[in-house]
Amino acid sequence: MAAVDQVKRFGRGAARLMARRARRLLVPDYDELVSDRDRALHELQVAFESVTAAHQGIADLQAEQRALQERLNATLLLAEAAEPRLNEVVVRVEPRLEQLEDGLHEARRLNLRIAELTDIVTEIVLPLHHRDIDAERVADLAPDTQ
Amino acid sequence: MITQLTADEQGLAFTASAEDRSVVLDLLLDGRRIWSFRCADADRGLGAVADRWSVPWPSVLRPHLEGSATFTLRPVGGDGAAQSVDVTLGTGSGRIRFTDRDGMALMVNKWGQLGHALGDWDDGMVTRLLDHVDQVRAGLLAGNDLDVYVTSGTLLGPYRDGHLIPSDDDADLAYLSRHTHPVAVIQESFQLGRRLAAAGLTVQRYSAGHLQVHFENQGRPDVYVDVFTGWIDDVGWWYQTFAVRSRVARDRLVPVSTIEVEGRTEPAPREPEAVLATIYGPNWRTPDPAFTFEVPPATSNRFWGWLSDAGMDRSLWELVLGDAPHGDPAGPSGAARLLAERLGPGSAVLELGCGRGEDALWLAGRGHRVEAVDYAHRPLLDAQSVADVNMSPARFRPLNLYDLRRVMALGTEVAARDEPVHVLAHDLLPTLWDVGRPALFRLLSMVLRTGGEAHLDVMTSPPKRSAGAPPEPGPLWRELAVADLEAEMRPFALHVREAHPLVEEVRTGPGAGRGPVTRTRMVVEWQRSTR
Repeated sequence: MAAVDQVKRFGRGAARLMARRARRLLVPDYDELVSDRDRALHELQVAFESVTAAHQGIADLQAEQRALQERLNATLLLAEAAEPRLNEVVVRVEPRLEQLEDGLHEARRLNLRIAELTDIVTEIVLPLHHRDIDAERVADLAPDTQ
Repeated sequence: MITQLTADEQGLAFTASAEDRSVVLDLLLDGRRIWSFRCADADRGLGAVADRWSVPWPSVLRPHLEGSATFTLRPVGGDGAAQSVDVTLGTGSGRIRFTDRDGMALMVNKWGQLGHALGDWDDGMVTRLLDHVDQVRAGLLAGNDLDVYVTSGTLLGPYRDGHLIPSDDDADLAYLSRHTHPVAVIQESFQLGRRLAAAGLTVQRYSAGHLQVHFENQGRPDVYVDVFTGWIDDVGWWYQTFAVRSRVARDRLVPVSTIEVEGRTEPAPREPEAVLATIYGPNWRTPDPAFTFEVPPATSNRFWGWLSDAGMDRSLWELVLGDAPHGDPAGPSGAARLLAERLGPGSAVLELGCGRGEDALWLAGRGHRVEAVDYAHRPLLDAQSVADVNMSPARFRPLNLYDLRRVMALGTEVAARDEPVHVLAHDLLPTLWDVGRPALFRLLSMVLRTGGEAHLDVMTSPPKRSAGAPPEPGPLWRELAVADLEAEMRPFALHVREAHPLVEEVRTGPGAGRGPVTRTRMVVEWQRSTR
């Protein structure tokens, strides 16, 4: 039995050897082609995994988009509900804004008024009334802080 | 490329492709530049033909469009060929003349108003202008610790190439105040105005931060100098009329540097580029005769609030009154006639807003002592000349009702005479902006305390414009309700004693015919307050 097995092994080994020699003779690049095939199969596997991951990502984004859409709809509903109140606020605030702008203008214009009045007093009133100023009355003016 | 230029009574039309829309165009009248505009500002032409654009004549140019002319559109900066068209407009014959009464060439400036381009002056203008600048600068610096420098166009042109800009119409000086608060800045401006006037210069105030100094040459108005006020506030904002509001540190403006202006050394801001970029924006290096200021409301509101505006149609009235021939063929106004009927011999008359002074001269001719005021400078000079030639005792002097200080000064002077004064203010209220009315009523309350009455009138329907009349260049007529005026006068102790509705014929605009208006003539008196 052992001898039969040995003969069989010898036969297979010889056959493999002959097959290898035949391959080298007929397809000299066989080993390289096999290597390329294995690499291509690996890359295909990686690509497949990437596509699977991309599909998952798209599915996640779609879910997120649906969630955002729901939140947007809810916000729009809230805004529509608040619109009358918002309009009320605008109607109430607009005249006040105009009043504020008028007040601001008036406050700014006071700068000019002060300058004009100071100028009128120093250039017209005081020179014209200089002769009427009583020195004794000036001396009697109430003392002021220093 | 601009092609197929046409012109008619309404304006210009031309064809321009999309890439030409960014071009600035000079409009030439018989070869002379009179206006500039952006191609992009033109409107889509009638019928919305592709690439066909139209632009209306500037309103101030329209009254001059009588006769024949060659109009040319010339792209600025050599971007394409010029296009010309020969046209006859209006009913006039001969060539269209766009000149003032002295024959001086006019142009439409960046404010849409009439002006004289520096490039259209005589050869001696540059020397005279720079002399004026130096004279004004010397006046500003006399006894003052100020930093004065050329600004705006007088900085822009010389900084680019050493020359004044031909399309500019004046010289510009600015000073940087040491003060930081508007009140102190304004007080300083008042003092400076007085100093310049004391130096013998003719100074007009256009706001509490803007002076204009005028000159004459051979009996005609010469090129003038603007003086703009600048200051930096407590928190570092730089303000300069008009209208700069920007965060620029003082050490970028002063101490002043120098710049060559037409070969003469003048003071300049320390960093001219910082100033030019602030005034004209980032494209200041590129010549743009169609440039217009775009002032943000946050800036213009501040200047209007702090410094107000003492110009208020003054240039318009100089134009309307200055170019018309003296002597109204219709004679004195109905208002003057009515007043004359009520005056005793040798009465004192104060006319406000006298214009060319025809009513004042007529009243003086009837033996009354007439003093007449207006803020339009040249018509006053003309009226005084007429008075002098005719040995009329009428006196004409400037008064700006938008300058409360000058109003108070005149009121004080007239009231000090301690005699009844009759005031004539014909067509004043319909032409006075609302901000001027309190000063008018203040003046009346001062001069009427010693007796006398004021004759005022208001328009109750605006004049109907005669067919074909050119559009008015500004709001020359305003409708006012007598009841509103009575309410405004009440705090000044003024009372409308009489109100007479009537219909009168008036001129409907510059260069236009006459048309009927309905108005109410009021007689106003001062009544001592009962409180």
